[in-house]
Amino acid sequence: MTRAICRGVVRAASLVTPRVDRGRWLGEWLAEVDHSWTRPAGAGRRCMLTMRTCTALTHALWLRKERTNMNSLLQDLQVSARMLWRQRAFSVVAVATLALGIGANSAIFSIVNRTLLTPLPFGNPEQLVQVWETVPAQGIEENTPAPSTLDVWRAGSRLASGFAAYSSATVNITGGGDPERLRSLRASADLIPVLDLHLTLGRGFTADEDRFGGPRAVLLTHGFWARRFHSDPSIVGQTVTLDGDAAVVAGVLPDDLPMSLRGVDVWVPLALKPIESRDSRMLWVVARAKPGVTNAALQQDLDTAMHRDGAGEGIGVNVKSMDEELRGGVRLDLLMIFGVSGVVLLIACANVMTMLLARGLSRQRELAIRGALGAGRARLARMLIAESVVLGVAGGAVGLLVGAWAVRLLQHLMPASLAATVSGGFDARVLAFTFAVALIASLLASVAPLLTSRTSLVVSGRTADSHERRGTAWLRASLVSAQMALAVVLLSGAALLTRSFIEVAFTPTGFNADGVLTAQIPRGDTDSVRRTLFYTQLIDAVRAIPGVDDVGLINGVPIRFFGGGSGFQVDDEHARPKTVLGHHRIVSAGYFRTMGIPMLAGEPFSGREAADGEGVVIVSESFVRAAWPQGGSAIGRRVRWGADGSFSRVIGVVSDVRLVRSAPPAPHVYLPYTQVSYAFYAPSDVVIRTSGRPGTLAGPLRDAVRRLDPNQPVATVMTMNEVLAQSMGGRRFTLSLMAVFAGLALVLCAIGIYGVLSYTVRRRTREFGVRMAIGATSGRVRAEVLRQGLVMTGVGAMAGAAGAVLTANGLATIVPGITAFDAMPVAIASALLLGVSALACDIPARRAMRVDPIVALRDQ
Amino acid sequence: MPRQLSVAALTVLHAVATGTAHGFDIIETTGLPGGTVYPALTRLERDGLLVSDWEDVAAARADGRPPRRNYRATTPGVHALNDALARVHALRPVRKART
Repeated sequence: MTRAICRGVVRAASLVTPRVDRGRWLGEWLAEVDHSWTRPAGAGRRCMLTMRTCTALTHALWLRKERTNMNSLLQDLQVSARMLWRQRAFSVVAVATLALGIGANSAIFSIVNRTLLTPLPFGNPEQLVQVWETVPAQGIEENTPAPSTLDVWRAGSRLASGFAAYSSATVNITGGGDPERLRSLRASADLIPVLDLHLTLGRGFTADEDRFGGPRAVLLTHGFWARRFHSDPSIVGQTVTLDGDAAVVAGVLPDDLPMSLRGVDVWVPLALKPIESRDSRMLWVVARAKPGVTNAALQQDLDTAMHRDGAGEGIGVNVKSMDEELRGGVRLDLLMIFGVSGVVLLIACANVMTMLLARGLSRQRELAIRGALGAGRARLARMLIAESVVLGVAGGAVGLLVGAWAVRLLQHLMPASLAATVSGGFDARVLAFTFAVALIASLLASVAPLLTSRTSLVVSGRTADSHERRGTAWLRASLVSAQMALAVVLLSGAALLTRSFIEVAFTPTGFNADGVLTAQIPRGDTDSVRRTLFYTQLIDAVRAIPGVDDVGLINGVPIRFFGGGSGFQVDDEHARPKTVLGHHRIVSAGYFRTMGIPMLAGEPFSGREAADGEGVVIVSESFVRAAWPQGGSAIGRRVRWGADGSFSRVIGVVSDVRLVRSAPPAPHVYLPYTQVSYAFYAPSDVVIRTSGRPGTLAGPLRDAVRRLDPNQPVATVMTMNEVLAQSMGGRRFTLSLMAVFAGLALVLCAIGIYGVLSYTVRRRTREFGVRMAIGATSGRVRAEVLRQGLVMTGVGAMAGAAGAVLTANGLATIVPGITAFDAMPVAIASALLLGVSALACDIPARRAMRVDPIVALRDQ
Repeated sequence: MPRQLSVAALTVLHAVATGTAHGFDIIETTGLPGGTVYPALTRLERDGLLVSDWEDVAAARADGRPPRRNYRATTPGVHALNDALARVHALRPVRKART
């Protein structure tokens, strides 16, 4: 009998359970009850079993509560989606606004993620550092060390577990396809072990290969392997012809190397040649710190090693983490753009908030009725949040598409110099970020409607109007002002950066780029006599091209090539010999005339400087100031390249030339190419001046070179003005992005203010009608609306101006060339926004002006 | 990711992991009321720490009753149980209340 009662209780309790769970629930409980009653039991146990059966009701109620919570959330989302679907125009604008903000953030984050947050492809990358020399007296923070310095560090460091070095060069590949000039990286044999790099195929260089005269070997970068050898895995062990010599392909490098190591075609062994000065500062040095050693400790350790026995006077050590070295250049720009995209998202959120607010006000009656029917504050709040979440999720989904499209567009538009370092792509982290941003954006957007929902609960019907004016008008006005303020900050920031960009772009370079064509014609010939003969013939052949006014050669045109720093010993009669850092440039006689670099004193090279004759050099004016600060003529003084060469006589002084647009000119020492025998310093860049269009000389130049040697590659044919434009590509791109975001902010602001004023005019139609019926002119009504709009924007503009000054101060500390306070960009940004706002205000104002008093009085 | 186990959930999970497979048996083993054991079983199953299936119908009919629901601990369930037990074991008894 008791068993039957227990079964009845369970069956009754099952009626409480949600329908979807009922079958399983009932089956389980009945089985348990039946099973327990099959076993023999006394009265006490029966009583306990009966009591236990009663807990079935507790379980059933708990299950119902769980399901109800889940269902009501789903129900809220469904209702919200249906309501938003009914108001499609509103939803489309809100989703589009959020999608723009979220898409911009997701695109930029995908780039930040791939470029800055992905670990470097080395083993324990936090232990890797780049080691630079510093010259405090000349303000040089990063100078490439000399091989002799590297030897000192290798021998004396206690805290580094390994050192490696590399340098850049070019080689010509011939045979098995078109002759090609390749960018190469000369790597010491220990570079791959020190980096702890895993090759795609093959092996690294052996110590024997990294020795002058040792077997020739080459490592292919992944891109070059795919391009030239179609990713043929059997390439390892085969031979290729580099600069006329056979070299064995030792392996293929991985694809995910950072740009400075990947942006070449091949790696060849460093194998320093006897002719290369041990004191020439030509190496990039990488070190691996022992576990637990900080950069500061390693720097101190290397500094001590370098200055042991009184050596290395005037030279210091600068240790930078590999991450900072490889990514530091783009980190600032990327984070700045990321911050700006965040501000755009804030503006978009404020915009949607004002839209939801306006919509919420027109729903006051509905909310009041819901409240009167028993919906509590929490229930109403959940409904409002659910609407925002639906908008946010839809905005996030569309934003993801916008972001994916924007990343592709950005990578297409990115200058090559930046595209190689910066890459974007969508992965789980970007998706999670986008989802989080969408959620935060939707919660932010729901704040204003939530704040005003309390009003809705206590008012009903027409009394809602008065509450709206008193309670929430200020909120809408504040949101518009906040958008304006953020937009002013963005616009003035963009204007400030534009100004600094223009200043850099118009800074004199020290040469005349107009009418100059450049090309790289590297001669791989190791025989200096034959090489010099080729270049002499090249000068004659190019000069014979119709339209060519002048021609010159150099081992790297300014702006495109800014390496080549060396220590020069200067012979000073009044003081002991000292070393001055300068950039060596190997040139032909016509170089200065072709580039329009003025001679300040002395004479140019004659072109007849013999290899075995007296060494002569021409120096730049900043070199003169650094070498002989006591003044006097530099002509006739003597300069020696490195510590072991012979002294050369200074025969001329030329004006300074900039190597980097945003940096001051560096000291230069120019040497005639006929007196520099080592192939590494071959004057591979030709510069041609013409009075016509320089681009038209590209074809004749190639023909002239082909006639001299059909196997000689001609690369990077560009006008000098194109070289200048390319050097600004990265900065121009950053600036363009800033401008796009600032423009987006401007448009969002205009939409926001238009929306708010339109709404105000619509709500005040009756008031305007009454005013006009009792004599107010249409002009006065229009002025009233305009005034209201301009007050909102004016307050925003003032707050924005204050924010812009703070932002400028912040930018001035991190972006070179920006002055802390610059009123002009702030004024321009404010004026632009006020102008756009006036337009956005005027449309609803005109609508208010056209209100028919009779119709208006019938309204509402 | 399952939430932190409550003491009741830990006790129930321990009972299941040590071989107690049915609802009423778990109630008896743990001494917890049915209103605590069943919600804990539902939550643990939802979090993937337990799985359940039904007893063989023929065997149940032979006993003259409907098939019972069997609970088993999953591998993540066992891991979660061991983690929680390790945390509990790390706690030391307190001799005297601090005033």
